[in-house]
Amino acid sequence: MSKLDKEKRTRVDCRILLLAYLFKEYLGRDLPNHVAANYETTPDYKTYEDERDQLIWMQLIKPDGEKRKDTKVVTVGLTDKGLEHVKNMLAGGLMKTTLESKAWRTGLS
Amino acid sequence: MEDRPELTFVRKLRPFSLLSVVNRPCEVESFFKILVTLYPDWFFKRGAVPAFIEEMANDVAKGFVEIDRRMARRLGMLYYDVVTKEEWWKKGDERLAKLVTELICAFNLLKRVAYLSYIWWLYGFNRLAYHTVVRHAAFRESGWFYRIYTHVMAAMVGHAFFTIAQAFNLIPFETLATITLSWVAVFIALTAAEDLPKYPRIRKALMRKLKRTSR
Repeated sequence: MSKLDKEKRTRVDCRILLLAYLFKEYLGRDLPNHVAANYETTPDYKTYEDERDQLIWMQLIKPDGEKRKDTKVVTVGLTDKGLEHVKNMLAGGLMKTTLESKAWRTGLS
Repeated sequence: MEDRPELTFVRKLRPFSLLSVVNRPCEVESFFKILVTLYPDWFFKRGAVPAFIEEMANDVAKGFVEIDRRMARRLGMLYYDVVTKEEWWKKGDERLAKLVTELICAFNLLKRVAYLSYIWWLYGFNRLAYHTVVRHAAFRESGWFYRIYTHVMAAMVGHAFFTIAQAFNLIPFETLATITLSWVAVFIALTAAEDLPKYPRIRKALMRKLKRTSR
């Protein structure tokens, strides 16, 4: 994976986790899927979806599956593990590229 | 403080911590919210500085309109699905309305911090420049404190002008005094006229007058 790709993935991780934190703490709800996966309409939004799925697999976020009758929007919410991760990150400074490391990805750290 | 890691995070941020007048928890929290809303992608370090500082600096370099555009896009994100253009928020969502109000209030602060980030990004590499140029920029962005500073500076420039004019006998003292006093009188009169409607009685009287003239 190139350096640029790694940075892109870190960016997507940051975005999903922080926006999920903002939505959870201040709006009391889960993050709408379009914000998590298709934040901005760019040609590589498929990568965003992959990264979101990766975060779901790592149990940092969970798909809620809640469908509102009016909009049919699926949301993703921050899990307790994810919440703790974001809080640690904010208390300790900035997001380190922990999500890139193999140990973190396999859930060992 | 332990329960609110975002406050710790924002207070540790270098450009933000330079703005010493902004210290109330509500302001810090609002700043965190707008930072996450506008720059959620950049919460990692790229080199020595956080990536969002670089992003903010880039936006300021392109022009403040870039930050305005970013704000418009992110507010849209809170209400609409950008792909399907579907409106997803619930009607009468008070919490969302409150959040958006806070974001709009904190937007000015974000612009100030963005400008400071830009200066810090340009000059921060040099210790001398950091303690002079960057700190002066931080002082400039400190709001009301800088207004007092500008008034003091204006008074000093005026004083210097008077001293030079007197030293070279350019203008008689009486003329200078008359100009100054009339200027001050006009300033006080205009300021008072602007501030008087703050008092309810005067405001009511003005409203009555307005109604009478509009008939």
